[in-house]
Amino acid sequence: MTFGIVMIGYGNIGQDFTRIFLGRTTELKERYGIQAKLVAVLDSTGGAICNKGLDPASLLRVKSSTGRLCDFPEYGCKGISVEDTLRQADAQFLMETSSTDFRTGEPGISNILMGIEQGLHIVTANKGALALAYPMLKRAAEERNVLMKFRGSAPTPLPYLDLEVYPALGYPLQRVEGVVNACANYILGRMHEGTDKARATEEARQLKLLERDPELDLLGWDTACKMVILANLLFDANVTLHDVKDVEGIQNITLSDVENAKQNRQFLKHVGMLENMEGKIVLKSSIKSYDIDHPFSAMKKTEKAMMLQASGAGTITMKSEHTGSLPSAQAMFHDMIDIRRHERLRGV
Amino acid sequence: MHLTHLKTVRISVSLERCWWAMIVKIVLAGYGGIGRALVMAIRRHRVEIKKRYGLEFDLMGVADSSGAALSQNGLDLGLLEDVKAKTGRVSDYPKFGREGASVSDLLEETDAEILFDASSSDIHSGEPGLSNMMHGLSRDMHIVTTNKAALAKGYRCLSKKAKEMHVALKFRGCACTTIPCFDVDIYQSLGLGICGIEAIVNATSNYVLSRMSDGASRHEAIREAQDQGIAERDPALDLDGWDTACKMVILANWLLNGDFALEDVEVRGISNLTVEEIMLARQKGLVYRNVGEITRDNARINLRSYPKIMTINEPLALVRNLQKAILFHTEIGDVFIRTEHAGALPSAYALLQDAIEIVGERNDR
Repeated sequence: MTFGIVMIGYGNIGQDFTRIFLGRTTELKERYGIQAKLVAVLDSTGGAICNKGLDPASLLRVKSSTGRLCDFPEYGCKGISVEDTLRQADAQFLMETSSTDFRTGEPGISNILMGIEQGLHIVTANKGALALAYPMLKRAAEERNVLMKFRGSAPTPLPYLDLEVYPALGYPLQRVEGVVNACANYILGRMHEGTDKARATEEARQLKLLERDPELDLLGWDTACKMVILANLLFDANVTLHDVKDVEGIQNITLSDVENAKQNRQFLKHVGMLENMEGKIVLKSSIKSYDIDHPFSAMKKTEKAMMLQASGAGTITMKSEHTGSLPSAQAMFHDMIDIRRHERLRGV
Repeated sequence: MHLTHLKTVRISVSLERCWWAMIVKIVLAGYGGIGRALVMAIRRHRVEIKKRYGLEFDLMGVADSSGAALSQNGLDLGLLEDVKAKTGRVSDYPKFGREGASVSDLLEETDAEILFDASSSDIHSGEPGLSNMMHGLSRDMHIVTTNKAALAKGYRCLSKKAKEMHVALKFRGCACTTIPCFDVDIYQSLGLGICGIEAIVNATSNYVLSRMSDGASRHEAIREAQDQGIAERDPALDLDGWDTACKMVILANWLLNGDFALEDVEVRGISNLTVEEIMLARQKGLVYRNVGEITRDNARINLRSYPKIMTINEPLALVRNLQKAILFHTEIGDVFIRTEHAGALPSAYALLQDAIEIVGERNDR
């Protein structure tokens, strides 16, 4: 059986997803038994719908030449709504990659709910929607008996981690710590090299590490959001951003704090933390100092890093320089493979 | 009556969320550390596996060096564990134990769907694992394995045969216990673009090097490793770099689509490294690590296993004692993973996960 995919949002992640699709049809079928077609793709102008499957190469071509999917030959629909699309499309999966908003979670939350309503499995990388509304979305998915996967919303290198057997059966996780905000990490890293904070922040801005909304990076909210996503992904904690009680950014750190730490052979890092306190997950976004030979101290300024402490298996430490949309697009594919496995296991 | 049908789908009367479970018949070759951890994991997580994945593993037979235990109705895992703990021989399993029976007998006499190969093989010939797995494949069985020697030797012919028979061959636990937690092959097939690998995948040699750079003599370090049960009585395969070499062959064949054998690896062990050399390096801020390395220059792929010297703040330099790590160089940057020693458990879970994936991926036959 060939599966229909509806994709909402056609930015970098969506286009990378299409590129993966383009080159690997045979391989995916042979290796993972995945046969799929894109039946509808929407951007802000409307979209293209064809239940026989849209040609991936044409999608990319239209997007790069006019920037508007509604210009897709024959199947383009100007201004078509998500609702109408879902009604018309013959699909099993909704890939939600619309732009994320950390204040409202929209339009991601509504898109996901509409997809669930139509009985589609959800694969999303929409951080805002997940950080603000995960418990509600999860409940809706359970009631409708569909799956919702979102490893693409987690910071790299976490999506690479197998989330099935190890955490579920083998290694119950106790604690997670992560340096997951590139901007804060860059600024602190430069401060350890002696640069003052204002200048380091300006550099980060020039390197495009600073978000349009600088509070997210500098006051610790981006890290907090990511920890909420991780808490739900790794611990099934059913939490939202409101459950993070302890959010501190790098706003109060001065050059002399950094110098003092260095004299004690320590590095200051901005980290997110999750701790399993007898079943209750405590979330934090704050500053912590690490010994100089700790993997977090030895990381590059542009890397993200994570430590997962599991009972019985010690600590898994991961870091990567991977950033941008390609890893998220791959992670969404991974989620789709996972969902297919689940369905087969359930005899669907 | 439709007995065969009843065997495959059993209605469960438990109060678990899942009402029915798919029964998957399996056989196990090798009942050493990994095999025991596997049986324990299957027994311990029976309910959870059923609840999450809707399946139940039914162990039809197991073989160790004494013989086998084999029952068409499945073995009692608790009893099996007791017997092994008491006598060390699965052939002492009441009623169904058979002295001198082999893996071949398990394969011939059962209609198991998956062969778990947790045995070990000779590093040069890959036997007996290689023949056992070929036999399993020809009997239409899926294979999950942690048998690195067999895989390094026979990856090409095993994967060819598996393709021919339309069955799966999975081995995430083979390359090293760092990998199982990383779904690396999925990402590689989706375009991760691995262009090189550096890895510390042998606990014994890494432990010995770490202890020597703390000032211990080679002899002391090896003794400590043996006392902790990490090093073999004859640690030569570890210290001479062959175990690491073997794992590099698997990684290169698997992830880079290579066609390598053990002979293609440039192997230099740590046996000639003296405490003086290590100390001298240390004074300069450098350390030695026993590294397996896969590099690409143009179309050529080079495999090495050797004591590599590096500055102390490199990621692999921070991998000490019993830790293991892999550093992937990819087209969009590096990925590094470090794990700690956890005995046979990671390998057992690797087998389990491979098997669960197979059930979730196979075509409905």
